[in-house]
Amino acid sequence: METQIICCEPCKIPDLSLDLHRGEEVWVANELAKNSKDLKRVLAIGQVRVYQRMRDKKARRHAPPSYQRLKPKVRTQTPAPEKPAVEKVIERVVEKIVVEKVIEAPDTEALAAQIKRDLLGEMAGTIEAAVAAAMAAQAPPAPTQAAPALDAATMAAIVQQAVAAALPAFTGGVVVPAKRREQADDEVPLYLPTGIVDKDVKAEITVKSESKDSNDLDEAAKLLREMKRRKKQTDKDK
Amino acid sequence: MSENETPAAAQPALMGVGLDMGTMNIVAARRQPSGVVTKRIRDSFIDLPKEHKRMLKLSNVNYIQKGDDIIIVGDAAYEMANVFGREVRRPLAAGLIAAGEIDALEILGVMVREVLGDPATENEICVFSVPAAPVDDPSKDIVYHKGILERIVNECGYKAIPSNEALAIIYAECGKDQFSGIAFSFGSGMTNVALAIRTVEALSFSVGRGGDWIDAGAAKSVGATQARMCSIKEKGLNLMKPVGREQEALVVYYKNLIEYALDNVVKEFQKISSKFDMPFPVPIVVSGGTSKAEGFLDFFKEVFESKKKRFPIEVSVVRAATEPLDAVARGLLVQAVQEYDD
Repeated sequence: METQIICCEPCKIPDLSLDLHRGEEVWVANELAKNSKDLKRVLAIGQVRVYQRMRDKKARRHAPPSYQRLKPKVRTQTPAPEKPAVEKVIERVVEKIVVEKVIEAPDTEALAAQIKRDLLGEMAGTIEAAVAAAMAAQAPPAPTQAAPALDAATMAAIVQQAVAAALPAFTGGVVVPAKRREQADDEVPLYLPTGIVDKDVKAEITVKSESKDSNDLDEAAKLLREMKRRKKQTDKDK
Repeated sequence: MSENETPAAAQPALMGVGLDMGTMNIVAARRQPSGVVTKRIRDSFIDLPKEHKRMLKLSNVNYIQKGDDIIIVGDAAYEMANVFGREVRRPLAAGLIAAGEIDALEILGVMVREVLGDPATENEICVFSVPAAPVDDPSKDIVYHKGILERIVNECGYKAIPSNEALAIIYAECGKDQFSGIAFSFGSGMTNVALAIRTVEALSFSVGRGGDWIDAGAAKSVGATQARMCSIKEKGLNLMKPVGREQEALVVYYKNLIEYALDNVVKEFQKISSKFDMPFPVPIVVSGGTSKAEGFLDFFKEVFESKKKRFPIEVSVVRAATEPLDAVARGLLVQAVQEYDD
């Protein structure tokens, strides 16, 4: 869990060294957010919204922008070079297995261990088929021409690369799916201040006090105890 | 029954506390060898400049000193509001803590600390009341309210356990009915309703109408202030024999509130009726500060009779809680005691 700070109005949070612009979103450790007086101040006046949640790529991808971009964003990075078709097919196959077998599985830790053990064996057939399909797709249309051979060394390198890319997900380094999914469902954006009850505040307070017979209460507690005991017994018998 | 003034920090003898966090009153109940002791403070405050401190000490009113301000809390806040021609502030509005009321939270923290007193042991169990989610206003934030109260109670040195407000009335009043019944808690900020069958909560909800809504509506009808309507109510209003336009206006709104609560029971019960059968007729228990008006029970019965044909639950009897202001706190205490017995 981390704390997500979303800026509603431009503001500064000096003790977190943050200078936020409208719509900007930053993540900080829970402990830092909890101890930040400046964050509490800007939160109280509505300049930011604060959520405690798991940070995940999926949420980032689907998070709706809380502001309207005025100028189109200028792409500064050059796009990555197009991957060869065979590599793309292998990656897609590996990704499919990861999604089906790991991310959507209920007991991911046990399954991850098992899949790690069986990975190469289990994937071999699929990869082989995918590679064959990719090769067939790349085959020249004219039957008279000889198909360019994809040598074994290149093929092995591509497969190794794809498997290596998928492995960190299995070892738990990147994906913790079941728990994250559960938390995302139950996630409630909530910030609760601490130190509400200040023991040093001077107060001269006398509260009205009344004393009444406790027979009814004792009887109710006794009956409740008896009912709960019987219920437990019935559940046990079942 | 005895009524007296005692210092807030009296040591309890037995374990477990029930804490009713209402819009109008904060009530704590705990067992002592002499019986059940309830402590109550009116959930309101008003801030005054520091120069009034001397006068306050002389007049013996409850106050909190916060920086350069003096904050009067409890019943005296109402009196002072009249003296200085100001409006009283309340930490809870319409049954819930308003997010952003940072000052009010601190005041609420002090009031809860004084009503609870010190825990008998570290992390003594304190079961506190939480309203059910309002069916007519989904924007109201129960989660924040519950979280803040839990934190306040924990910071007072207790182990806080939240529990439904109306369900607590069933624990306090329906022991002889095998903890089965329908409880209506007519509070100041909202009305809470719960249906329980043999301790199991089958249905619970709240509506955002209560005593304040009656005052506001009646005031608007007759062109008076809300404070005046509240004062008429508290001076003694007989719902079965209203006198004058103002009282008649109040009665109209009382009737509407009861009808609204009963209609919502029908509506909410329809959503769950296919899931279970009512094994036997259950009692209806009415409680809460708004139910303290004279003739409320008869008035409720009258309205209920007109709705009975459409009411989906077989009712054995309609009765009032023995102590309408303390019923929730006592029910919560039953639960707290139970935690120790378990």
